[in-house]
Amino acid sequence: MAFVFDEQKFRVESEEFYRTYPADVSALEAELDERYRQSGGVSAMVQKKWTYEVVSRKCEVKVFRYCPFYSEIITGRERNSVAGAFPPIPGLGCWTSKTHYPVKEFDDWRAPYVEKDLIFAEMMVDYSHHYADVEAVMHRGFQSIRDEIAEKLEETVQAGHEKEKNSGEREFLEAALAACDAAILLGERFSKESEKMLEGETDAAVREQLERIRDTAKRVPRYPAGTFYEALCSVWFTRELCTSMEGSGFAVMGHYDRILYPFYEKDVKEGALTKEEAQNLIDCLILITDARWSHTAETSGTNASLVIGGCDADGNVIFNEVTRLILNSFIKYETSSPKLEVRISAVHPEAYKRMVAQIAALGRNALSILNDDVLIEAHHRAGKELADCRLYLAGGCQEPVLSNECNSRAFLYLNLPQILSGMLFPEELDFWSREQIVLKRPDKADTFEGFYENVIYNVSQFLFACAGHYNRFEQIWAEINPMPLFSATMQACIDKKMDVTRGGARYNSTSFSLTGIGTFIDSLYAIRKVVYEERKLTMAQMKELLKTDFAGQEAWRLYLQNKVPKYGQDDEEMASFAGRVFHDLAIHGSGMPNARGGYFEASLFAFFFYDVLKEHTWATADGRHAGQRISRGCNPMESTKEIDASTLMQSLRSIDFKDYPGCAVSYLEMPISKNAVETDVFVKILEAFVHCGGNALDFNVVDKETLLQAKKDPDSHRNLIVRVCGYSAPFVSLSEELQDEVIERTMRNG
Amino acid sequence: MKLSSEPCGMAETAFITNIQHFSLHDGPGIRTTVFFKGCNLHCAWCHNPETVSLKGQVGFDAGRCIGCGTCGEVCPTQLHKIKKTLQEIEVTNYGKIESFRDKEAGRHEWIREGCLACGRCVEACPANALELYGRHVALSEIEKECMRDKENFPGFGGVTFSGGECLLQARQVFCLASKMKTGGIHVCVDTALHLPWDKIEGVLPVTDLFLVDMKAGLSDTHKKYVGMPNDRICENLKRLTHVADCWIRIPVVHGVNDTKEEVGAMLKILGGMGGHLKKIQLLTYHTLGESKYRSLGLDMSRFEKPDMKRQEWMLEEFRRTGVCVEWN
Repeated sequence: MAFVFDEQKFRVESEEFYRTYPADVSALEAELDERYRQSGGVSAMVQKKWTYEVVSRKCEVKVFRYCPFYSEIITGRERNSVAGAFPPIPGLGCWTSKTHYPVKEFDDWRAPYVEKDLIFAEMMVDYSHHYADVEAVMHRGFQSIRDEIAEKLEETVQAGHEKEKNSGEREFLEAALAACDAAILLGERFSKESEKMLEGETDAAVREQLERIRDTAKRVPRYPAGTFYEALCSVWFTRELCTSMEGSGFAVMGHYDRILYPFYEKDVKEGALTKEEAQNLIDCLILITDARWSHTAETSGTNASLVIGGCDADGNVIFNEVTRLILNSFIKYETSSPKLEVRISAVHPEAYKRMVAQIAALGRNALSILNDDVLIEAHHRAGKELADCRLYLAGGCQEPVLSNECNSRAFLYLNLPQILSGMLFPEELDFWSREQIVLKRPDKADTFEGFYENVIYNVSQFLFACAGHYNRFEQIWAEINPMPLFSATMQACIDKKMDVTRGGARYNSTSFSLTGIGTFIDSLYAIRKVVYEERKLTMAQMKELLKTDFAGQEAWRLYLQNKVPKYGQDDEEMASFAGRVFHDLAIHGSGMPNARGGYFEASLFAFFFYDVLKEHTWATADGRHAGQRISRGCNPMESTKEIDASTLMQSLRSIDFKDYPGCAVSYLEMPISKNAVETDVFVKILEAFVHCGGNALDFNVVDKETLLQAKKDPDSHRNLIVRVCGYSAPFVSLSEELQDEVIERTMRNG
Repeated sequence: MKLSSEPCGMAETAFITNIQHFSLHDGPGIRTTVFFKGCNLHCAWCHNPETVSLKGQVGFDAGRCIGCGTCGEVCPTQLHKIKKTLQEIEVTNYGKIESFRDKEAGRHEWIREGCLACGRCVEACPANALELYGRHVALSEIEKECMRDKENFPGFGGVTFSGGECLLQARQVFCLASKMKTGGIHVCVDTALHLPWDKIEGVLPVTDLFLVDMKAGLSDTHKKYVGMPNDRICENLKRLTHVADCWIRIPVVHGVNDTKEEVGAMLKILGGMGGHLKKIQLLTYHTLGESKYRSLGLDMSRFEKPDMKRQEWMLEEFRRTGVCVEWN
């Protein structure tokens, strides 16, 4: 029974279906609301249990005629809702969150700082970048997990109710049990739905697939997967189940080539699967992930991410036939979802790098490169077991997560340049007095060392203050949106009888994203040179320039911008200074305990918030006007000259990126190309990136002409995918401002 | 000239305009290209006009100038002037100079003749509106920068000496190339071969690949557009292809060297080459050098580029040589 993928028909069918989203589920929501009202306010954990019951029993399920996977539960989600779920988004998955929204404590705290662009704080905790352990479910099945939870529940009930802790444990276990039941029931319902569809179906090929779904869905993921097809069904279904019911984003789909290969190998050996059929299945899985998105909306971006390459728990390199199948799909289709997270190391074979380079050179911008040699060590340094670190995944933009970890990343962005301005102008940009921090005024220091020491001290106080508040918000997380289904996929949660939101996972990390480090370094360095070393300006004069946004002092602004060395340029003194700043920020951005028994880890993300944060950001000492863009990820400023790919690699060498387990992203704009020679260049860049000790790398491959044409004639360029920052989107869906920014970047390096 | 018998003094300098990293079009792989200043040919379509003159030059980009007058303060020959304009006086009377970029503060006027190309104004100009073309850089410094990318790229392609005509500074090329060879770095020499043979011979032992520019097939055409007949070039090329690996690079300019006669003449020349001719690269004429002409105060001659049909035809014609041909 070989699966033949009818791509055209699937595209039509899925588009027709998803176009009808969002479905109206107000009756079910009203039912839940009424039950909640009558209960007099049960805990969020009980609310989640009710959600699972309602979704699994009452929501319609959709089976496609031309797709062998089953997962679509009509919960009222919007089509483009997979990314983040705070503030709560439409659909039953967020019903629990919705009843507790807004969170006044969070809104009150962030408002004054968001207003001044000191921080970007949309989410209380990470509602986007999680990984449900689909590998565990695939091997074990929900039935076995359910049995273990039932046992634990029995134990807990036996132990009695004396302690408050027990009641929390009991509620958690009951909800997790309900989650497993929902998963099992939904599988049966998908099975029945295909049986129903079979009644009127005459197309023989379709019948064959529907029969396959009918026979599989009632068993998988209830029981362990036995074949390649079942394994795919299991990992896909489990993630989608979480996406539908947990009121959170699960960006990370899984490390597919590592976990699927044993099934592939077995099936092929037994003659139950051909390479062609396996390719068809992978192709279909990639396209259904993409089909769930519509890319016409302005906000469109990707979130689902597939991890390939890297190594297994023992450190053996992963590059197998399944890796090739996945890469083939990405070469074949220009999708923007899922994104491909490519784990690479110095010992990965040439053939692997070549295929990845081919995707990069084709301008398939839904691609992130992760350096194993740096990231594994970074997580190991953060105190995690080496075998666990080797199994890291990543997704969303590039947020790394171990398979037994519940992290909270990329939800709070700190604007470093604006925080520096806040130290120089504490009255106008107050954070310190509100948070009762005694500011060490850097501008009063006699030497640059004194200045720098105070800056770093204040940044660390800023981070501590934020951590204090967010540790409270992390506690609220468990109070408004626990995730017992997600928890059920995590062995540690069952062992500890504790939800992920309370710290049930083996590892529980939190990281704040430091934004604008390039601008920050340049500004510090300009002050060092011009005020403390060359003494061309006094501190008071420098502050006057910044306060007035260089009004009437264009010559000074340009001097600061053009005549002072910049981060990223080939300048030894600057390189060593930059290395120091990266290290100091990492030290102070990590190590604080969070509310879930884990620790803070350093990260340098940008997403597109480097662009959002700029508006009220004051002028900076590097000659940047107020309101202009700050730097992206760990890149130099866009205005810095003489940054080619080689110089960018050079600049990575002076920085110890093993300080950043939460990721530090480099962005490299490359002109688009369609010939083999250029693929070579990309191979070399991949090698150089690993060799120079970079952490994560995103390419943006486009040519200027194409972008200019696309801006003029969007209709003919709907498929042109560009990377905005961490995410890829159709160029034509971007605002004019963002379009111009992408064009500008391309012109510099093209 | 017996280059190889003389010791290399790395304290010597070379006269260069630029060192470009991550160059993808100057030989195989990712390369670092050193542009030497000075050329003995004058191709009408030259896209690196700043490398032609043997003297240092200062370029000026009026679009960047904010009229601050810093250049005038440091110029030893007092060639920079800021013209006060009526508009400026009006604006300053109201005390509202918002931005110099809007030219409120005056216009830069500059007498190019008499410029010593000392570079002081370039260093002082905050707006980077002035640029110095031509620096005497110590060979040791050039060497260091050329070696850099070998450290960054495990698959680094090598170093290319280009220009201008880099072999007008054959001794410097030899010294640098020797160092590169010692460091295991692949060396390309990009030359037009309009030189006495001994200059070419001198760098033979330290060069892996010659990139030879061919401008035209007929000597008359060559003389008309390049300023010299091509007899010596052809002779050197023939000799060179017998002893060293070569790529021939032809900038294709419509109406100049893409005619039937021209292509025929070039093919005839190529017919008599030695076995070391490895590749022929056809390059489309472009006008990317325009801003450099403007900054030097020079007029750029305009040509057309060949259309796709002609490109295909030329590719086919050149393939008849049996050598690998690519359009780059």
